Amino acid sequence: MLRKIHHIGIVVRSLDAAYAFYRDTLGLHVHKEAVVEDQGVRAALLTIGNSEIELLEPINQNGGVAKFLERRGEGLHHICFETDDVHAELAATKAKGIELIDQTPRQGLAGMICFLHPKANHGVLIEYAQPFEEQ
Amino acid sequence: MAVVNRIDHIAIAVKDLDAALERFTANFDFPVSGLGDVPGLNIRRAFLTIGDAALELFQPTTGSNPATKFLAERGEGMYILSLEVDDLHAASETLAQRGIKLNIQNVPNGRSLGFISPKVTHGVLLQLVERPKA
Repeated sequence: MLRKIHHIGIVVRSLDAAYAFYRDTLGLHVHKEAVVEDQGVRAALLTIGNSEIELLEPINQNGGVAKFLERRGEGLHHICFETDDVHAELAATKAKGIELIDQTPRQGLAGMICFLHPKANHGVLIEYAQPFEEQ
Repeated sequence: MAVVNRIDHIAIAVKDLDAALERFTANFDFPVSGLGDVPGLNIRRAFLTIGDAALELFQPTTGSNPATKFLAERGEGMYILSLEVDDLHAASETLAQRGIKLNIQNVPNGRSLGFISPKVTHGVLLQLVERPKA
């Protein structure tokens, strides 16, 4: 079951420059920051209510985020819904015939994640995430 | 202290609201509300509730809506990120102290919305909304 918006992904040219607005002006707490090699990004999660804003800065020219930045510039990139079972959610999505990017869940900043194809949702890139257990 | 409380909604611009609503409902099964025209904004829209937030699917009904240009140039997709504040005017003052201008616009039903320039927000059309207190 999809319970809530886990985060909204925003592509930026520079994470440090984006902190000036999202952290310092809006006052959002940086909950986590890490390099996610297989997505080619340096990413940060900033807490807003029960959800987060994810800022994504490309660290090389290869990933989807770098291509997005080059083609469209900075801006809204994806919506992530939280689930307590990403494998079951992905299987149910696949069974409905919805086009996917990831056929199996993989590790992301938010937890175990997968992406659906934007073609399946009127141009909106949608991610599912099952958060890691945190202490 | 954060200026904003939570994600209120994400507005998604679509070319055909009925088709998009059918697709999103089939894919995600989120409850639908508020389906209809908003003449003052020149849109037809519906909300899909997810947790304490919503997706707003909207279709411009006249060429004068700014999303018409967005749809023509970039196609369907996420258009506005709307965040909730306790008090729009207090938020405006706090932002002004931090050197950021909040553009407050009056919208139908006697309500106001705040917008921050995409130049400041790194390309995001960011809206601040104050909800009636329970």
